[in-house]
Parts: sequence; structure tokens; C-alpha cells
Amino acid sequence: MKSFFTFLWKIWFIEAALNGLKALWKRLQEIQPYSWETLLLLSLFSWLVAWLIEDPVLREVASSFGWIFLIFGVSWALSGKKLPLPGIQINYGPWVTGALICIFLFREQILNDSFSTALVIWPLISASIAALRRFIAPGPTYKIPDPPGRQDIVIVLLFGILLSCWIQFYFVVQNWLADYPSLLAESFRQSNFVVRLDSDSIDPPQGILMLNSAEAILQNDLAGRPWGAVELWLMNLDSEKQELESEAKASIARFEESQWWNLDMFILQGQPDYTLQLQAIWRGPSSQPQGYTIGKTCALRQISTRTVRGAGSPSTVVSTQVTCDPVVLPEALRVRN
Amino acid sequence: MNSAVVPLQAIAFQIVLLLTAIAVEAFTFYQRLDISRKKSVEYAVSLNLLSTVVGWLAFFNLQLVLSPNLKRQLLEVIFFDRWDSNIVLVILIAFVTFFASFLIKLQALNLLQLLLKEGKEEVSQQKSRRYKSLIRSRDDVLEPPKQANAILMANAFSYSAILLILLLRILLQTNPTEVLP
Repeated sequence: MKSFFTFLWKIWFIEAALNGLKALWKRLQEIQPYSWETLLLLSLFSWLVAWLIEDPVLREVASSFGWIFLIFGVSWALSGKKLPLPGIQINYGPWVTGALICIFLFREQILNDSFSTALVIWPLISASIAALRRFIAPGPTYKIPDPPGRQDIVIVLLFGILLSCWIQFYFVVQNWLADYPSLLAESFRQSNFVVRLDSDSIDPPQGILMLNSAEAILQNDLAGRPWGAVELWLMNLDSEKQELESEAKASIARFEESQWWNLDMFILQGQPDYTLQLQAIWRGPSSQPQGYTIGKTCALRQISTRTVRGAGSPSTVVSTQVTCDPVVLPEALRVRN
Repeated sequence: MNSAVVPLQAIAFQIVLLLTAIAVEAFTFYQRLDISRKKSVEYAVSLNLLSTVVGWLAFFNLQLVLSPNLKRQLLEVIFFDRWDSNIVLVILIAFVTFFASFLIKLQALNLLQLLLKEGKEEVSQQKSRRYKSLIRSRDDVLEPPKQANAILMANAFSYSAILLILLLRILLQTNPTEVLP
């Protein structure tokens, strides 16, 4: 019984597929040679050829033809089509065609592999297509648009450029944030230009990196050293500070903002032994008028270790232990909106 | 590195300010130049779009060559709305922008009218105009051309309107945020 049904199902399926093919064939036969369907078919054919070709160069050429036919076919098919919205009349054809052209240019690596360029020139290309359509007269031949047409072209082109400018501004903002990642440590709520869509995530400022790097350098230089050497080191604190700063800054030197970070280091009074206060000072763009300071304290302690050297009597060596606390963020950065 | 920081407010503000400027300037053109309402709106749209676009292009290129200190101030304005350290500079920039946009609009209107001329009849009109202007050249020297005057007025009105909007925004905005500790 079951096999009977599968048999019926197969027959029905084959029949449906055959009918579909027949309908498609009929539809294909109806296609006028001079129509957008022809272009789309040519595009499909080019891709089929590209798929079959082994040679990479020829393959690339065939696939480019596929794209070009697709672009012309789609722009023809959508020409004059308007969004079915009441009240507004928007020709969306140029937008689709423009997007296809941008994808094509991006894929062919004409734009230096820059996705942002492809996105920025999209409105520009779409506006140009919309403008070009006014030069096509029925026939088809070309014509010079009449003055109202020319006025429309001016406005459409300028509007396209303005949209491109807005997209470009988005990428300019991204570049700024890439050069100044510590901007993301503060809230943009006050801003009248940008809005942060993932407003809950406030990134740590780069100063933390610098402090951690300074801590690692201190551990490396001081931990386990004889106490006397460390006291000598502390006597030259000012010159050691500059060396430490330049070394610690190397961790964030790849960012343009590193010029605005400074490292300060001093001995906290009233603490046992020596307690170093490390500070990363931000003087760059900030919501705070004077910038802000991130702190970290490192305690230098004497520890006695007994060592037995050779055959001699055991001697006590006083060496140094460095223990640092976690970074303390200033009030301005701890407030999450 | 792309983050979710989007200049939505900048775009929204630009739309509002552009619409205001277009409305004000279209009205001024309609009053001061002998053109139809439709044409005055088209002129205002074209000129304002052009000056905005030129402004953006200037901005994109200038922000690349700013000194570190100026760049810090620019970023403070854009990300944290902090204008305190550079009020004088802002006023200076506003003045430069005003006159630059006036010059751009003046040239653009001439270009636009040239572009929108009908084929043949315009040439003869232009000839007669040139002829007329030869006769009236002395008057023209004395009184500023009507068109430049109209654009100057339109620009002044639209900048005033924009300034008013910005002032209103500052007045409305300071209260709720500054009260918080």
C-alpha cells in the first residue's frame, strides 16, 4: 500500500516537474529577442559557461559578462518601477542596479578590496543611473533632457552625493574610533552627532593596557632583585619613570591616541616599605575637561630568603617582592549610563 | 574595525537644518527674483544641496590634516558635545562657512541658470541682455546685482534660522542633563 502511494507521488512529482519545464520552455519561447529577459538569460548562460571553463582568466571574463548582462537586464526590468507606497514615488530600479554595480566592482577588486568604498559610491552610482535614464529617448536613442529634466538631474545627483557623504562620515567616525579606541571608554550620551547602538558595552580605555604593561616591566626589573638594588632604583625614580613610560607606551604605540597618554609614578607616603603609585593620565578627547587618570598601586616588599652557597655557611639575602593591585578606574568611567 | 557607533543624529540634524534653509531661501528667492514658486524651491534645493556637499568634502579633507590639538577638540565636539575650549574658533568657522557658502551659491546659481537655458531662443535673449547690460553698465556698478543680493539675503536668513534652531536646542537641552549631579 505504502509503495503504491510513493509510486503515485513520484508520478505526480514527475508530471509536475514536466509541466513546470513545459511552462518554462513556453515562457522562454515567448521571450522577445530585444527584451530584458534575453539579457538575464545571457547572464545565466555566461555564468554557465564560466562554470564550465577551466582556464581562470577566461572564466573571469565569462563571469564578468554574466555580471554585466545581469546589471543591464535588471536595470531594464526595473526601469520605471515605483515603490507601491501611497504618496511617495520612488524609483527603486537605480538603487538595485547601483547596488549590483557596486558588488560587481567590489568583486572584481577594482576598488582595492575596500568594502567601505563600495558602500560610499553606491548612492553616487545609483543617482548617476537615475540621471542617465533621462538621456534615453524612446527608440532607443539618446537625447538631451529638457530644462526641467536637467533640473531634476542636478537635484538627483547632488542628493546622491549627499547620501554618499553621510555614509562616508560613518566610516570617518569608524576611523577616528580605530585611532582613538579610548573614546569608547566613555558614554556618548551627550553627543549630538553620533549614537552608540550597543550602549551597554563600555570598552576599557587603552591606559589599562599601558598600566599592565608597566606592571609587567616592574615585575621583570625588580622582583627577586636584592633590596639594595631596588632602593638604588628608587633613588633615580624620575629617570626610571621616563624609561618605564616609553617602554610601557610601546604597548599602545600603534594607536594615534597614544600621544595623549602619559605615565606617572611616585612613592605613596605613609605606607610600609615602598608603595608605588602608577598613573595613566589621559589628556586626549574626553567628556571630562581635564581628562582622567587611571591608577594602580604596586607594593615593593622585602623578603628574606636563605640561600646556601657552595660549602659556606647559609646566608640571608633580602630580595624584593612586587605585588600590584588591580587597576582603579576614575569615577567618570565607572558610571555606566 | 566597525563598531555600533552611528552618526544618526548628525544626519537627522542635517536633514532638519537643510529643510529649514531650503524653506527660508526658497521664500526669499520667490520674493526677490522674478521666478515661479516651483523654480524658487528648485533653486533653493539645488544650491543648498551643493553647498552642503562642498562643505562635507572640505570637512573630510580638513580632518585629515588637523594638528593633534585641533583634532582632539574636534573629537570632543563630536563625541562628547564639548565646545568650551574653542568658542572663538567656532565663531570664526561659522563666519568662514557663511561667506564660503555665499560664494558657492552665487557661482552655482549662475551655472544652474546657464545649464537650464533653452536652446536657441536663450542665445538671442542672452545677446539682448548683454546689449542691455552694456547700456546699463554704469547702473550695475552702482547697485549690486539683484541676484547676488537675493542670495546674500537668503543665505543670511537661512543661517539666522539655523542659528535660532541651534540656540533653541541648547536652551532646551541644558536643563534636564545639567540638573543631575
